[in-house]
Amino acid sequence: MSQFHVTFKELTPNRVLIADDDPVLTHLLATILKQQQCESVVANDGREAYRILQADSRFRAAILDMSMPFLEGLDLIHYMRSEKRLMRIPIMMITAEKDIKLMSDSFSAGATAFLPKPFTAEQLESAIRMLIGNRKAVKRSN
Amino acid sequence: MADLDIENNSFISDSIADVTNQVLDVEVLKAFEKVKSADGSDFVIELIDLYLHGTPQRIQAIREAAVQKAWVLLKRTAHTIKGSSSTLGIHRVGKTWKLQA
Repeated sequence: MSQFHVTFKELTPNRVLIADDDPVLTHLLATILKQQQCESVVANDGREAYRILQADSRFRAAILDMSMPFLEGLDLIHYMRSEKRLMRIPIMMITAEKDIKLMSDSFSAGATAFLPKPFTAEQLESAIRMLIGNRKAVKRSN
Repeated sequence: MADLDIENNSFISDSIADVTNQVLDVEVLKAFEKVKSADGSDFVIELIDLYLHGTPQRIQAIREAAVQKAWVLLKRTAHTIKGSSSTLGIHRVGKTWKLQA
């Protein structure tokens, strides 16, 4: 009698949440993500991102601006790392500040990557490739 | 400084290049040339259009925030201008808003 082995592979959605109030950056990110076969879901401020995350956890990654209206990027990391359904989503923080403390705080809160501006197209593409390839659990916070 | 060469306009073009380099790092924009827009249009032009469309609105928002003494809004809006300026290599604007922020 022949045996059939069926492997169930968890489907990783090719959707990435972008939360940034800068339309130049969101357009840049969405275009590069599309080149990497990823669909973008754009939130124009922290509160909009929070509302999206409350209803939807099917994201391969999240790219968050550190400084946004209503809710800061760091607050969103804390929220994502405290929710079981969101805690495995890799997060990249983007900031206009080259601040070691901001970087340290981001990693402490559970960020996967940190990209200070300005960056080149190559640096951004490389960071995004790394981010969407990261499928490990990323919970680092307590 | 370049020699004055009226026939080839080298003095003029070098001066313009000096000023341009202080304001705008063209290499940053050139690096985005290889990014292809979804509909095949010029991606760098799209980015510049977004910047030129959004920045005057933000400057107006900063003026209004100053009148209303809404300092948090003012700082955040200045921060956004700084971010989009530095993304496009418009360093002088980015540095100006850094001072303000």
